[in-house]
Amino acid sequence: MPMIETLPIGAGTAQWSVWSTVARVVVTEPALLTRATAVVEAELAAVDAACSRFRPDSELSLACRGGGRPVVVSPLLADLVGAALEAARQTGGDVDPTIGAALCGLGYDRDFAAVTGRVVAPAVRVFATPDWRSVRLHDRELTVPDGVRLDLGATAKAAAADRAARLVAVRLGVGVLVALGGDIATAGPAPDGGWSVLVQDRPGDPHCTVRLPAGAALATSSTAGRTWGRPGELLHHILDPRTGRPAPRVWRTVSVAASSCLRANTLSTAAVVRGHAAPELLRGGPARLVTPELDVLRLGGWPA
Amino acid sequence: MDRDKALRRTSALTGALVAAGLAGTLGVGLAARAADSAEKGTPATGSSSAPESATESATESATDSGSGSTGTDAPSLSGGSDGSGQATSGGS
Repeated sequence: MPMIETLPIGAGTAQWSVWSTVARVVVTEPALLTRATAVVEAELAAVDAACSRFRPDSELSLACRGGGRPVVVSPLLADLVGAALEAARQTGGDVDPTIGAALCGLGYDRDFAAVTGRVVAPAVRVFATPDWRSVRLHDRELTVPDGVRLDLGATAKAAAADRAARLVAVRLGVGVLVALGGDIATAGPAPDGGWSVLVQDRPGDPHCTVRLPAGAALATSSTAGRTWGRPGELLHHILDPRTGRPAPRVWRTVSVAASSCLRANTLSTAAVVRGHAAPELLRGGPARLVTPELDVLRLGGWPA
Repeated sequence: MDRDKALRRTSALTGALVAAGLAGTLGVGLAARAADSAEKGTPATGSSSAPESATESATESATDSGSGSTGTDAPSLSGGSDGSGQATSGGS
């Protein structure tokens, strides 16, 4: 189910649908909202053209069809792929961009709005993933092994939020919050008291409100959102790269705060994959984990 | 005598050519590094000029945010008014 924003749209706030979720921009100077929105929309369009796996004309799709030969890509795609590979390295492969074929095999092969309601994926199908270390990136020269399909979904949306927020702050000299579904990045000066963020997965789930200092980011990964499949076999989009199947639902929701949205999302996604070992991964930083029974575990100074 | 003079001249010319070659290699290397840095959107020589395009400035952002650990870059959060906020972080 696409994420739905239920908060009111106040002064200095714009909101629209993108990537089967909601984009929301908040600026500290409402007079600059229109210009800020244009900057964010342009950046999201550039990211989409670079790395959408649902567009046959995206740079990423073309690179994946390169037959294992090196392809020179744009600086933007090189950065996004580099970020994905770095996330894989940091998490020991828990966040692996080579799960694209497995996701497609499970039925998530188009924009999620078109996946909902489809009957897909026999229960016995298993899709081993190729391993992120098989992908080579040297400056702008990208080599994707033949048959490998990259999915940057775990990192590119967060990176896009970081990029868009940074651009708005640099170009317009204003404080800004950019939210793309669960991924929230901020840049520039924060409002008095910080950026106020409601943390809640689905309607009716436990919720809380936290305040982020200037420049902080927050990401939430969920095994309850973006689900599809059929009765008796409900799939979600966070795969364990080692099995090519959705990670076991040890956690319903994981939220992590970090200095960048990319880092926060890398950790929240890895925590879902790591399951019972997630608290060890998240030690030292603010994190909030919700079990399938809706019990809440707060770590690293997450406010009660 | 003429033979020695010719040998010295040859040695001098060879030395000059080697030095010129090394200088050229160094120059090409520096130019390549500068070009590479420009492609990545990072100034080669400490320029502080504002980014000209979305891709360039955002590249700096992406590069900056790629590293760090949970413990060292973690922000300090505080509680807010429950049920409110400027945006929602939910699973998507």
